Formats: sequence, structure tokens, C-alpha cells
Amino acid sequence: MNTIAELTRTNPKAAETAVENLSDLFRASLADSQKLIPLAQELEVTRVYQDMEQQRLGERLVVKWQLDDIPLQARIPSLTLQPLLENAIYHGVEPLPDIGVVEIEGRRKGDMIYLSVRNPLPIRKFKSEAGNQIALENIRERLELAFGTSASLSRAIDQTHYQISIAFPVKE
Amino acid sequence: MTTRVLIADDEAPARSRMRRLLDELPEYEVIGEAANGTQVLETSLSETPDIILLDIRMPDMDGIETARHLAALDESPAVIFTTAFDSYAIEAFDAHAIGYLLKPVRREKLERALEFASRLARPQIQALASDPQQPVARNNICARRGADLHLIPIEDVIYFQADQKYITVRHVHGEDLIDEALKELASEFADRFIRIHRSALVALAWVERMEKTADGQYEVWLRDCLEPLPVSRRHVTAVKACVKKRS
Repeated sequence: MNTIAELTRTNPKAAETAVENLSDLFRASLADSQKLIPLAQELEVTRVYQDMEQQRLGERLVVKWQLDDIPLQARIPSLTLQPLLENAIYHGVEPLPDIGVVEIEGRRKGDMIYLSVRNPLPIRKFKSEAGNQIALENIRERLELAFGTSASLSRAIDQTHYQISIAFPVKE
Repeated sequence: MTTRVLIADDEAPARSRMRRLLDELPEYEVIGEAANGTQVLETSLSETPDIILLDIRMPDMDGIETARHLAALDESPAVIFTTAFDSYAIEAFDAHAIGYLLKPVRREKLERALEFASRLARPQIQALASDPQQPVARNNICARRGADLHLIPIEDVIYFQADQKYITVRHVHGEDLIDEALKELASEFADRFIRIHRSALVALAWVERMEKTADGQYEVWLRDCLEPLPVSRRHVTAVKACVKKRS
């Protein structure tokens, strides 16, 4: 919001886009969270979100996408990927003084789709901030409701990186 | 005379918006912008601003900690915190800021906070800013080197040793003198440091072993240090327990 407040004066065109992006996000967040949407739509919302953060953080944020022919019409619960990017930026990029790279990967293997979001692990986190366990738990629950036990959410942490991966069956 | 203001925020659009709001207030002059806590301290030392609009959530060193280092300066500026997060309010209150603004900042609220801050005299600011019972430990120790300030990450500190008036901070890159009290350092960093002597605090992570010398005196050896430090009799048991727990 603060970014938009500034853009209205300095770059009205970018401000207009930011308001449109924000509307898309609001709309997605107000929609039924149980509803399954095409993967293409979830990817779009995630890109819209990335665009907004890019305005705010400038060159401090780099997002690398690597999507290997995943079926775009496959169904996924709304707001599954977007919150993962949000967490990655909030916990992994913002605490870094320089550039932070988030890697988003998607691929298909047989009847399963695998998506992952990977971010650097900052040496110093911000103080007095809770983790993102609630968001993760929420995504896990919605995946389970939609796909039963065939879906999963897993977390991997090493010395330098934090990665969340989700897997779910192709359902059109 | 205009009041001199420094803008500190890690986000460029946030800085330029603040600058634009201030440009419309003729009583205030923006003397600079800073994108992180270290820049805030450097600019404060060289430019001695009257007021700092200080973002709380910044990488490296957050606004709250920056404010604490600012409070130790000879001419500490009045700090007004800015943040997009409500949840920081209580902590900011603890850090005794002069004011607290939520982003996007409204012009009237900014004006009111600035007016209040510019009415305060330096001693009042100092009294508000210095709080002996800070709840959260700092991430850095701030040492003065001539005209410059130097930040030493707390994880780089090997030990603190009290002298007559000053405290020597021995760290991975050398030594610095600071004007602080060992007692307060001991309580602030109780989870990282152990008292081995009336005049010395040692980082647990650097303790290698404790030895008894021929004349019955105890000494503690630290990683990367060529000389041991003496352990006083009354601290021997506690140090021994720590060494044991670590090995």
C-alpha cells in the first residue's frame, strides 16, 4: 500500500497496474479456499503477486521460474503456490541486505505434479516474528481435502536454503 | 532554522514517498536517506540530524536495535519509528521512541509527530531513549574508532574484558574499546557469554578448555587466542560445568 501511495505520484501507470494486481489478489483471497482452480490461474496469481513485490523491493528480489511442461489445466486448491512465494520473500529475501533469489520449480512425473519454492536461509532473521507454520499447515490441509493422501507437502532445510515442495495428482 | 531530518527505510519507494511528504513541509529539511541500520549510524554521526524517521523492519540490523545504538551517541537524534506492521507497536514503545507512525503515513500524523519531536530538547530525548532494562539482546556491539562507528556482530565477539574505565571487546578481527558496563553486558547476553572473572565475560562458543596452573590458579583457553584468561575462584564451578556440557 505504501508503494502504491508513492507510485500514484511518481509513476501513475505502475500505480494503476499495482491496484489491478492487488484487486486480483484480494479477489483470490476472498474466494472459496476449498475451490479447485486451474493451475494456470494459480500461476497467474503468483506472478501478479511477484510483480507487486518487485515494485516494492526492486532489484533486491529475483524470482527464477522453471516450469517443465506441467498440465496447466490440472486442478489445484486456490492460493496454494502464492503463499509459498509470499513466505519465501518475507522470511528469505527481505532480511537479506543484498539480493535474494527465490526459485520456483514445477514438473510432472507420471500422474503427479511437483511444485517447489526455494529461498535463501538468512543468517539473521527479524526479531519477534513467528514462523510460517500456520500458512503451511493450512496449505497441507487443503491439499489433503482435495486429493486425500496422494497429495503431500514437505519441507527441506539445509545450511543455506529453505525449500517447500508440494506434490498432488493430476486431476482435470 | 529548519529541523534536519534523516529518512531510513530499506525500500526505495517508501523513502521517496517520505521525502515527498517532507518536501511539502518547509520547516523540515531532509539531510539524507539511509537504507539500513549501519548507514543510519554513519549518517547520524557525520550529519547529526535532529530527527530520524526510522523503519523498524530492515535487513541486517533492525530499527529497534539501531535506535539503541543511536541513544548512545553524544548527540542522539529523536527517533520516530515507521512501520507497516501493527505488531511492532509494543516493542517500539519499549524502545522509547518519540513517536510511532504506520505506513502509508498520513501527512497530518507525520506533521504532528515531527512537531512533537522538534519541540523536545536533547536531554529529554536522551532520557527517553536510554533504558537500562532493554528486553531484547542486540545483534551488534557498537564501537567508536576515531570519528567512525564500527559495528561488531555479537557472534564475532570472543570476550569482553573490563579495564579501568573502558571495556575491551576482543573479536575475530581484533580489538575495540567500548564505553559500556560489564554487568549490563552480562545480563543482556546471558545466553551467549559466561562470567569467568569480575572483569571478564567469555563467549561460550569460543571456550576450548579450562586448566589448573602449577600455582593452583585456573585459566580458560579460547579458540584462536594465544593467551589464556584467568578464571577467578568463585566462577570455577560454573565454568567447569559449561566446558563439560560443551565437550
